[in-house]
Amino acid sequence: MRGIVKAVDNVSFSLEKETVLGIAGESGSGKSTLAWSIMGLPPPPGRIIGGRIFIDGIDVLSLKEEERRRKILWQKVSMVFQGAINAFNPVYTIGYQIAEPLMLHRGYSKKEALQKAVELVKSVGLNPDVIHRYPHELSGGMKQRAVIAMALVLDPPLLIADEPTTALDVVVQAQILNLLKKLKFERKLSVILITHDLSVIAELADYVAVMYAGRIVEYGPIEEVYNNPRHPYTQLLLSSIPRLRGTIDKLRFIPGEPPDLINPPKGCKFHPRCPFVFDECRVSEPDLITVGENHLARCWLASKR
Amino acid sequence: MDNELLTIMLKDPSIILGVNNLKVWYPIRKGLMDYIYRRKQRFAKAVDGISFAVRRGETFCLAGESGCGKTTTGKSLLGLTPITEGNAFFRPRKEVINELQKAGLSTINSDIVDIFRLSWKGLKYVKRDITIIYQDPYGSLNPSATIKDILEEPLLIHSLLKDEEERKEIIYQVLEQVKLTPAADIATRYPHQLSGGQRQRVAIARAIITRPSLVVADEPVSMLDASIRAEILELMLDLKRNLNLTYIFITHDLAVARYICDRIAIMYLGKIVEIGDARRVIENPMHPYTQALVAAIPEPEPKNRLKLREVPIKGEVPSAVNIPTGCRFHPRCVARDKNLERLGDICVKQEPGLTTLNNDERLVACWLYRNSYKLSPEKSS
Repeated sequence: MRGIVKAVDNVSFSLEKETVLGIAGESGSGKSTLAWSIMGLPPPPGRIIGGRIFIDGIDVLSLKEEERRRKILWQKVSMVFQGAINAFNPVYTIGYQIAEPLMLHRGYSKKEALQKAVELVKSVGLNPDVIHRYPHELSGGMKQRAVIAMALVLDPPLLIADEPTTALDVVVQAQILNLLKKLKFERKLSVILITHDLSVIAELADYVAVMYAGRIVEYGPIEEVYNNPRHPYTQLLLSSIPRLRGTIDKLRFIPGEPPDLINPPKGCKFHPRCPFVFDECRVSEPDLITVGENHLARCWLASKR
Repeated sequence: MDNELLTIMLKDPSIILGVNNLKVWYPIRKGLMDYIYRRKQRFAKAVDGISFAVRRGETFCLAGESGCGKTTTGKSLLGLTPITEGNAFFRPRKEVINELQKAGLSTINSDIVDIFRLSWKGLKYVKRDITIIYQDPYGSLNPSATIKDILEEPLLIHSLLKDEEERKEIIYQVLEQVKLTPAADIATRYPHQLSGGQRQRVAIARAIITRPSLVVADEPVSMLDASIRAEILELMLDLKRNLNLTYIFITHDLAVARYICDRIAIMYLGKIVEIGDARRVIENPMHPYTQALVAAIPEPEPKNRLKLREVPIKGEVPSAVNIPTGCRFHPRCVARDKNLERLGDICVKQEPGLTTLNNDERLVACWLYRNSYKLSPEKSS
């Protein structure tokens, strides 16, 4: 064993009803690990070694696996994960796969379950006859809609969407994001939206948490974080995105590479790449410091003001 | 028709590449029933008759969604995919022309070659002058070769430098140009020891080591993280200036295109629907498809979450096997519905050619912008 990777380290947040939290981060920042861990399913060989997760008042980690499967997954939280469009079993119809949790969890008959599936399929903007079709007959965008329908079948209050639009073309991406917006209002859904794309987060999220090297480096209401970013990483990340409108400014970039999580740098994890680094950053790691209303940043600079 | 573009090219030496009526059709495998009923051979028309010209020193962008034919177009320019029809007139560097003439291969006006008509040998000479950067830096580098081996290969294939020390020197020099330092250390490493951004730099180094004049960059930054993406784009712009490169930049990301490209061609289902100055096309799109594409792009603007994004397009991309009649965008076109009275069924019956809009160098393939039209066997370009 070469060492231990602390993929997600000391992450805390809370999420209110009917709000969307965007978790932004680059590859290796721990955002997907975080998503799976919220479900109590950290990707192996990873383990949750500390902390607690409450979903709708239930302590997820205190439950046994069997219990968690019965009470939490699908019922309280479901997930639309990366590459979900390949998540369907090719030998069953879409309708059956959407209806299956209803039969298993709620004891619906097949007919009732399929009827509910039709309703759901309609609510995600698909033609009801897709329930008789097989996954290979659907386009990528249609499959992604069907996956969202499947995730909502037991009416969970929380949906985790991990890179829900990454594999899709922009037109389809816009349609899926519109669908998620609509569902958020109609079903009073809370969503945790995980993506590397800050533009996608801006389409949906009320709050945003920016992750770097396994921890949250900035958190706050999206307007605050985007218009007044306080962590240098967030600042640089936002100015590294080419814009579609307005003047063409020279893009800024973050020199260097993300840290090796087996041997993370001492002090602030971002200090080797930070343009504002000073002595303190190299020695000790800052906590999340309140920099505004509900706005936190893990940066020594923020505490100096 | 080929002579039209060629004539323009002969008059205007600033044009480095002229692609004329390129078609790349892939035959669909026939099934038993197709044989029994003697059905005609069907094709997936990945690229279905496109023409464009690229000026020396510009970044020309091919943009569109997946399946629009942009990558196929790029590949065809290096002879990497068999083409069905068309010409690609290319003006190689003097040395390449000399080599071609020495080998007894014919050229047009002694400075132009048609890439699609070259022999295998001729293509090899020309590929010193046209290179490609692929999308996936994880898949495009040989995992069992060191960076030095990877960069040395083009030099060996083209027998450019006989002396090993000279080759080494060039390799180090190119590594420094793509800002991979210390070069001597990087050269001994294997691809898996580098990060994604570093690997893409190696891919860029490999593309420029033969000192090409034209580089086809196929989605070079779409697999990279945002912070690294900006750095690679800046590097590519620097290299272009310093080495007098011309880029054909293939991308699905119009924000990136607006940043890096001079001119842009928007493709849909194997056709160019709009072509012109990149900023003007993106900021003021004319073709209904381009308008939809631009409207669909999210931006890091928090206000956007409060409203639904209106994308003026309906349905889904049809398959390249069953291309709709007339204008291939008509089944998805919202603008047509709004102007149905004026347009009638011309969009269904006849394919619009690319027409000039007088104010800029823009061409749009849409009936909306024709003042007068009648159903006739009109020439479409």
